[in-house]
Amino acid sequence: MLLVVFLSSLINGLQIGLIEDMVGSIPHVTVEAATPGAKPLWQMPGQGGIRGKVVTNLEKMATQKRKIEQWERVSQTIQDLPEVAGVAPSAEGSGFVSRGAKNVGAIIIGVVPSEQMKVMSLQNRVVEGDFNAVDAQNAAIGVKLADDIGAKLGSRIRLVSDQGIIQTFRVACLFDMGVDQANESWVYTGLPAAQAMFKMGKDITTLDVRGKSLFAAKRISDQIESFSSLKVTNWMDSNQAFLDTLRSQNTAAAIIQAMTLLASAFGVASVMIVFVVQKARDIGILKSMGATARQIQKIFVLEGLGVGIGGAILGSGIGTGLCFLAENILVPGETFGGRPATIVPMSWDIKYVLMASAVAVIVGLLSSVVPARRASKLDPVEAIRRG
Amino acid sequence: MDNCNVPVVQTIDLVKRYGDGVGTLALRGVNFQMKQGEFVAVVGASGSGKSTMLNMIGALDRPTSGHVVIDGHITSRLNDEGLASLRGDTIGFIFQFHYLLNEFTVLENALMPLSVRKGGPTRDELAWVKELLGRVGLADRMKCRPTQLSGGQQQRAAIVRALANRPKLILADEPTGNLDSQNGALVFDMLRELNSQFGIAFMLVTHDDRLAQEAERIVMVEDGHIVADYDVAKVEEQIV
Repeated sequence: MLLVVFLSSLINGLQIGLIEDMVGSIPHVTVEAATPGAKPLWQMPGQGGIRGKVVTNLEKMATQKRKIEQWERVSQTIQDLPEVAGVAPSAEGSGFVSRGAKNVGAIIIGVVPSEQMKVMSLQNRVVEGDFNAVDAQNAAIGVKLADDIGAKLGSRIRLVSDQGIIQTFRVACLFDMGVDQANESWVYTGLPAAQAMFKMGKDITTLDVRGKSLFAAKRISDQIESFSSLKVTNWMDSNQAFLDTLRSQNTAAAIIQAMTLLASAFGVASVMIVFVVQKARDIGILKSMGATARQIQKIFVLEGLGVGIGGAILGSGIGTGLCFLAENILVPGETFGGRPATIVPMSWDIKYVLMASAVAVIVGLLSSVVPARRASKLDPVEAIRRG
Repeated sequence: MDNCNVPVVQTIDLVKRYGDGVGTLALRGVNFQMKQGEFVAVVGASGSGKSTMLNMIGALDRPTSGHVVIDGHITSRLNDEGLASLRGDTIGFIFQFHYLLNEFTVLENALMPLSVRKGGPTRDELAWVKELLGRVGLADRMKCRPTQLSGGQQQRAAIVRALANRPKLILADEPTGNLDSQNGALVFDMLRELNSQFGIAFMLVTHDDRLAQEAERIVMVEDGHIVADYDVAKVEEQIV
């Protein structure tokens, strides 16, 4: 019981932490214009005279991400999907960041900060400053990038797009996405500023989508694919190996919990059987007084129920206590899932306690059935003589 | 047989075999009758089958063949519930050891048959049990635990317990076997007195011949058979 509460909290905590770490910094689903790869021409979309088209597309691709056409309409359609929590447009391209004599390659992402906050858990990622301040004059950069170019909060930096447009920004926010690639190359600016730098007009390159649940990503991505030819990626497909690991961890956890339950059921049952043996004589005496098998059975089933309820209360109490204790032991200087790291990540939920309690009571009851039947079947003569 | 006196106990060709196959024949066709209010002592060597006979009559055990009729009920035709209610309502047991439940007080122990059968005593029943406890000299020990009583007191409490539901028949298996001779005599006298006063039939298994002589009737069991069955008074008459 104690173990079940503790284990559930621990495993769930671990998973939430891991998923947060992994997925928190990326949108659940990303929608981009389809980028033609090395596909045979006959598999290309469209009909007739595609040859010329494909070639031009490939040429364009080499320099710049493709734009999503009529993105407002697409965005609205996605937003209307039942499992979608938020959609944020961004204009993305490559370029350089320079400060003084230092020049570093960067990915420049133009966003609407308030929208972007809705699709990524950015509040946990901000180390310094305010992401909401990102606009045409203010940028957010990764901590590693800031280090590389020697920039601090408030420093002036220059962005150069691959279209050759240069613009100056003030560093308004430093973030740590927990991923090196992001920390050393991402620069967020306001959407119109990026659109101007990449000569996109009003167009965008990417729609970031957040699902109402983490695991809705795959379904949302399938739905988007069903009505558009855009390239849709979701975190679940991109992290298949991680998900498989989680799944096998879940299976392992379930097996451990089942074993624990089985062990405690045997524990209760053996305690009850010992009790029946100890009380054999009393059972015989009660039978000689006219106690029916049913009455004797009832005594032991109630006993089992008592053991179950007692175990549930005690186990939930101690288990919950341990969870909170473990949750408050912090490891200095480390983070997990965007929060200060505890010695073991816990996610305690009343759900586990109720579930485990219900199971404990049921296990107590079930494991008392065999001893109770045994007690009720005791031959009074034997029981009295043996006792 | 006295016509107006329906036998409280009757056994017909009672056979009990222990173990599988050939096994051990503990009873080899016992025919026996006992009237209401009779005080019968069953004597015999150990292993003669006298305790087996008592257990059969007490519906604690089922016969291999033959029948036991208790107060008009054929035990072999009763299911477990029926046997339980027969034991609870018609029969009282006294064992060699008191077998009081240590978790309960003397009074609670004495009321146990009523609690088991009906969930608790009525006011009359409570008064009756208290009166009995007073009679056996335990009036001031009612709130004690059994462990706080002497051996004789414990056995007396057990006797009250056997009487609590006003049974027609009391079956006592060596009730004085665990007591010294003085306490044994005291307990025996008490049983005799309860018998004559309330008309309860007593069947007493003992190997104490001296005590047996105090009974109305003696049944001798040997090797699973009744070898002698006589009224003490008549025999004494003949001797005199």
